[in-house]
Amino acid sequence: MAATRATQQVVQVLAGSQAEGLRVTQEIVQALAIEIARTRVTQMFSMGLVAAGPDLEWAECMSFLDERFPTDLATDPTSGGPGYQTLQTRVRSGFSQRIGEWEEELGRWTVAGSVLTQEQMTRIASLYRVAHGPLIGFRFQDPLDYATWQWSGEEPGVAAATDMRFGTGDGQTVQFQLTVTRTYGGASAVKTIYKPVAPILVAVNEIAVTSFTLDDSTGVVTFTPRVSAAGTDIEVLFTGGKWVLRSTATSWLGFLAGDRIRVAGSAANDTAVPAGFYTVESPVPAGAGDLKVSETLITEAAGASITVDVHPAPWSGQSVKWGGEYDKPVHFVEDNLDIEHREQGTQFAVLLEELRRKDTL
Amino acid sequence: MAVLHFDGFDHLGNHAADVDTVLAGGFYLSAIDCDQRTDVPRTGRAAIRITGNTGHLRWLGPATYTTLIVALGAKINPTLVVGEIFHFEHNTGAAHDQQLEIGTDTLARVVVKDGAGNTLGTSAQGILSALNYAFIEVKIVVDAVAGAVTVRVDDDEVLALTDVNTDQAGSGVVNQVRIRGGGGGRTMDVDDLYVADTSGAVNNDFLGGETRVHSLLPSAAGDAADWTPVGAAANHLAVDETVSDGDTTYNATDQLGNKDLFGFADLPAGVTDIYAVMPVAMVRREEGGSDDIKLKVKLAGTESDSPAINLDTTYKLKGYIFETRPGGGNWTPANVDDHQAGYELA
Repeated sequence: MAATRATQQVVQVLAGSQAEGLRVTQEIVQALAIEIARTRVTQMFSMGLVAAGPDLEWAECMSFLDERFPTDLATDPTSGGPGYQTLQTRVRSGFSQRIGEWEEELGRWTVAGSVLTQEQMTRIASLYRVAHGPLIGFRFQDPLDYATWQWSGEEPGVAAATDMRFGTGDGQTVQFQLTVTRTYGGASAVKTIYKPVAPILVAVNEIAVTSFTLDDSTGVVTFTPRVSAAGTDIEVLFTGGKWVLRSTATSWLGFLAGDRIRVAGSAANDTAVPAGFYTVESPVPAGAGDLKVSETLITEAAGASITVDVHPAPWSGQSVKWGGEYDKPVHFVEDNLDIEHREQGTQFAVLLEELRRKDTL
Repeated sequence: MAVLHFDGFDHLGNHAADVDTVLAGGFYLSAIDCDQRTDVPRTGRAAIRITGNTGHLRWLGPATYTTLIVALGAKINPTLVVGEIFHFEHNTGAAHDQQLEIGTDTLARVVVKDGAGNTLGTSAQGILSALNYAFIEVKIVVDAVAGAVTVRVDDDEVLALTDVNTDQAGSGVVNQVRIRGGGGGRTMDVDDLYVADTSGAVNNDFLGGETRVHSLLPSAAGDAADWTPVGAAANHLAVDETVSDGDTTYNATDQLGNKDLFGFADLPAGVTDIYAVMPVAMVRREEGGSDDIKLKVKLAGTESDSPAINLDTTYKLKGYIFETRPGGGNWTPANVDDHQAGYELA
């Protein structure tokens, strides 16, 4: 029932002109009022701003042993796999709220072995001691998840540089973090690879390249100039309506039309050649000669110590892919190594848990 | 007040406009070219992905500030390039005058520039990494001579500038923050945002490091159910959906003073410190008018009300931040587990 407050009332009468025989055919009452509009609430929640618990990557500076858990023990037998931490609440209406605590999976494995040789027992015990039990992380090859070809659908056991996309060029970025993407239907899950096994293969725009370095302790690939040239015979000048880098001895072999190049150095007259990015135009000399560029180089100089290299960043929109094997950073979970000695042989079982990036640097 | 706004973006629907939240007093958060993404949350159910050269979240305060703190979880995808994260501005109504810009570069540094684009300072290299959430906290003091900027990443101070010009506009204040992460071929995922100033007795500086926003849904009836449920068997069941269902289920009233209160799901284990609690309702008037809503929290028999918040004829999120619990004192996790929240037509 609307609460109505009337502030004005109007009575209008529509009538004939004669006083007698008055007929009323319509009566209108208009009320100018303030009415409370019906209001609807469709959703309600309460938000709490809280301090992060101690589970947010708090162990930042733990040591890491760059050695792999014995692979001959890791397969005999190993159980375990990826895990996620999810807070699940089902309200009385039957709806459920699920809060994902982890963006990426964390693996957990039980590795058990029996009838160990003396040499095997020595290795596992030595690793446990060197790692100080759970304190220090190390590499682990997950037998079910250790190579790009397992997820690319390509030939098993053979790494291809185009196995797995891990980035897209923008013409500026030279460092890319390795990842592995798993897809199901139209959805995908990305896992960051922090412990690749060198060497790996890398492709830019579907073409394998070698102009990169790999930090196998972090999984970061850094592209390096595909080709460089440096010499005191290089000069910068404007000729034939074009700015060129002219060399008399230094070869331009390997430079391609369309390459974005960087030019740096000082001319003989101590005038700095303007550092910057320029685009190579065809034709490109196979040896020494004039390397034409699209942009203005500004300073005309006879050269000394001029360096020219191809900008290493993949071009904008180019795919960046890789292929190879990877380990996972793990640590022992248990504070004690439980090795059981029997007449039939020596048995052990250890629990391994994957580490996040900050735990492993 | 010290905490001016916070949001975990867990309650949103599939429309960027659902970000828009109005708090009592005129605090406002809006989104342009942003998507809700449930596949990349830092915490909770979802995060906001900012894309494109124009994409941004915009927070506009009801007052002007000489000191302002903004913090958020940010993840830059797919690689670090030169780009912006924060614009601190003075929105005069006629113009958005930029006072300060904070962004990143290819060396994974935090870069601070003045409103004209001149670099004021950079952090060490390798502070940030692509594809990983970092919790970035920024405090600025606006002054043409004695300006200051402090940046913390994952609890560590990575950059502190003093005696720099942070007042490019010459007004000496800021009242607007744009969070920009798109452009240059990258996107930025944002989660667990808070904005604060240095006023008030609590929460008047960095909030002690990495923070989270937990969104709790109604799980039980509370001490009041005056409104009429439509499409649901009980009041709390009409408003307990994770994503708003609009006019499918709702509670309605046209009686001033009518109120609803609900019980909520508990916080997850491990929460130690509560900085603030904000009940939020998605609410609309059926037709024009000047009616308001008050948001309420109740604890141990004591109720606290927000000031009246004006309503629109389309559904909008309306919220109010309670930094202290009803009856006074700081919230505790047990208080949050026990509290009721709701609304009243005013």
